[in-house]
Amino acid sequence: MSLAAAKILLVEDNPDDEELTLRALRHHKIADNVVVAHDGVEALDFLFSRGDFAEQHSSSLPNVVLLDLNLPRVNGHEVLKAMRADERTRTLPVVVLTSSNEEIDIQTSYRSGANSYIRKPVDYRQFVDAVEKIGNYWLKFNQGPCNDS
Amino acid sequence: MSLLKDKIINKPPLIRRLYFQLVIFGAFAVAIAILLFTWKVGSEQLDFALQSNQTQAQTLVRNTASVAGNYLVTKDFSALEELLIHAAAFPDVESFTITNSAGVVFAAVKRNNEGTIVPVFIEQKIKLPTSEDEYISILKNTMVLWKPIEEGSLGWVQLRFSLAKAEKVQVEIWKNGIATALVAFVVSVLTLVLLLKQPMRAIGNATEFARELYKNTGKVMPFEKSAFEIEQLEHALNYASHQIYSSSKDLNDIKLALDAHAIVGITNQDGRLTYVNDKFCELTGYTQTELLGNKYSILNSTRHDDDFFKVLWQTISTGNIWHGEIRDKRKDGSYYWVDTTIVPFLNKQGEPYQYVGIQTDITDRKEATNQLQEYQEHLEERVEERTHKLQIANSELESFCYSVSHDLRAPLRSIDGFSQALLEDYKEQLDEQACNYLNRVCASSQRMGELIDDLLKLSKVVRSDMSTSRVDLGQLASRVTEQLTAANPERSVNFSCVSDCIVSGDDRLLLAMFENLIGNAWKFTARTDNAQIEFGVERGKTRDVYFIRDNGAGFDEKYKHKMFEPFQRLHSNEEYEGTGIGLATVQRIVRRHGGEVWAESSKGGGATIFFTLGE
Repeated sequence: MSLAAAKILLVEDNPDDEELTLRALRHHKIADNVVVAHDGVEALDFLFSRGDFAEQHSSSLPNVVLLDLNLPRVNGHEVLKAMRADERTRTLPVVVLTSSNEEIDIQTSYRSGANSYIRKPVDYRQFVDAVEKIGNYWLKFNQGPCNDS
Repeated sequence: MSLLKDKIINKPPLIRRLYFQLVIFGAFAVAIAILLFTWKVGSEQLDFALQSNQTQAQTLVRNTASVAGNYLVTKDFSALEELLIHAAAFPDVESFTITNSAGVVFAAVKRNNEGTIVPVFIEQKIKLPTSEDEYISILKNTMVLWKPIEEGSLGWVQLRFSLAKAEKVQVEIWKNGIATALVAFVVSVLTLVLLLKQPMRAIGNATEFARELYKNTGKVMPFEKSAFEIEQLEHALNYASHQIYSSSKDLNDIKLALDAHAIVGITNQDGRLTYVNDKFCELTGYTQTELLGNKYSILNSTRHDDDFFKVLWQTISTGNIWHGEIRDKRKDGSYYWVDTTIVPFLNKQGEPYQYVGIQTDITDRKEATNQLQEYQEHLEERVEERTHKLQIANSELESFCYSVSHDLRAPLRSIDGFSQALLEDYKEQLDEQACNYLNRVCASSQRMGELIDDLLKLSKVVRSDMSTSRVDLGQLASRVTEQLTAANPERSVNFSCVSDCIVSGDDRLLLAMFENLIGNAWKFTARTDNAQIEFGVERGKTRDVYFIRDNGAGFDEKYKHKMFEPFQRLHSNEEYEGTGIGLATVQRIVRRHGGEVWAESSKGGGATIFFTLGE
């Protein structure tokens, strides 16, 4: 798996967080193939090639999904459940990246099949550090289940 | 009752009066006794006189017969006559006659009306006695005696002897007897009248007294010295009067007490009121005149159905006591509840002739009971409602905390993130002052992030569910110390810990408590050489007091009351960092375990935090 082919789906409604996340990814040169979905509906449309993404080839799934929980329309938990209910995205790695450290969110996420749960630190330096580690881990070290596009 | 009273008669016929009967019969008895005695003495006297007369006459007739025999042999008739005149000289002799063997009279003398003895001549034959039985016979007042001379061969002597004297004695006796009886009768009457007067008056008085007993005045009869039986009667009457008075006084007292306490109403056989007491009127609002003659149904509140009253009537009309609670209606239309007992009073035939109803006003109690019942019925509803409200409040709190954790942190991240971005991407264009400012912005936002996190932790302590299990406090303390030692390998802290502190509590909360307590001790001993932290326990009778003691910076005793308030800090952030939430969290955890927490400044610096965990 080459880095150029690596893809990240960032599901984030907050434009500030989106910008800061993208900046951190850029900082580590892993932002080239990032797709941003601004709510749950968009995220699911992208993953299942429907709505605005209907033309997209169904095999172009991302290597990892960075999923915020607090989203308009369809929230992160629902997105995760829908993904795990569908054969195509059942095994797709999902990293929950959220402000919440509520026990209930953590438990629900893991039960719904999240692969990792990261709480966004307020300190930007720590945040950048975390994003770099996520990117490196999931795109470089981790052997994903997906059939390569 | 009135029928019995009619039988009292004031003036009975004389013959029916005991007084009269006693006097008359008593006197009669005395008189008859005397007459009987007279009769006895009279007949005895007569017998005696007859006996002596007979002896006299027999002697006379025998002697005469013996002498006459000689004269008959000699046929000396004049001498014979002489003999008879001499013999007849005996005063009671009426006549002397001598016949031949055939009954032809030889000679006869007779007493004439002047009482002189004269010879008489009798031609006719006299019938002679045929057997010895006829030798003596009594005709009227005369005794007739026969004596044969020489066995009748020469002739017979007949003597007629007067018994008038004996008769006369008897008549005298009878005369005296009757006179005595009469006198005795009169004397008896007088004596009895005198003797019986006092007892009879006493009996009369007793009767009069008994007649007045029903009036139940409690009077006592004036005691009169009298015959034993009458005295006893008086005593008995006095006792009866006393008993009647005291038992009826008891009865009256009981009635008084009953009237003072209860509502009393008496109905006749048909259920019509014949008596109501004041309380009855007071409660119902009716006057006595309005109530008497009416049935209880005048008070019916239509609360109870027909069956209820049917059962009631069936119970009491068969002579049984009914007890129950009834709701009735006052004259003004308002309702009241009475606890009711109805007692049927039975006549001799065992049939009820009146019903006594005793009631107690239980309106207040009944209302309270009803209210209580209503409360009870609605209690579950209320609990559910409250629980629901609490659940809503809780979930509101949850969502509030959730949005604090999310939404408050997001802008902070932006502030910090973009400030960092400025510092990194535009460093050349910013002077030192601008960089300093931006760094301060970053520090502040990071500190606010910590504050938010600690605040969330505090609220989590309060709202999280407790799961109680057996927890070893020493183990928890050691675990916290190990973590701190691992995180700060450059620090050298001497930690001592007691073992065997098993308590019942929530291990997660207690761990959070130790994290705060030991974390504080760790923090405040940072500048102490030979830092020491101790977890210990002071065993007490009712409870154990645990403590965490350090030899660190300590605190100013003046402000110790503020130590457990959230965000209160006794040291500046430059000295020791922190948010001021730790001890507030500890206090909440301790309180949720039913314990207390307090702080003391240790001698020679350092602080000791004491806590208990319930009893």
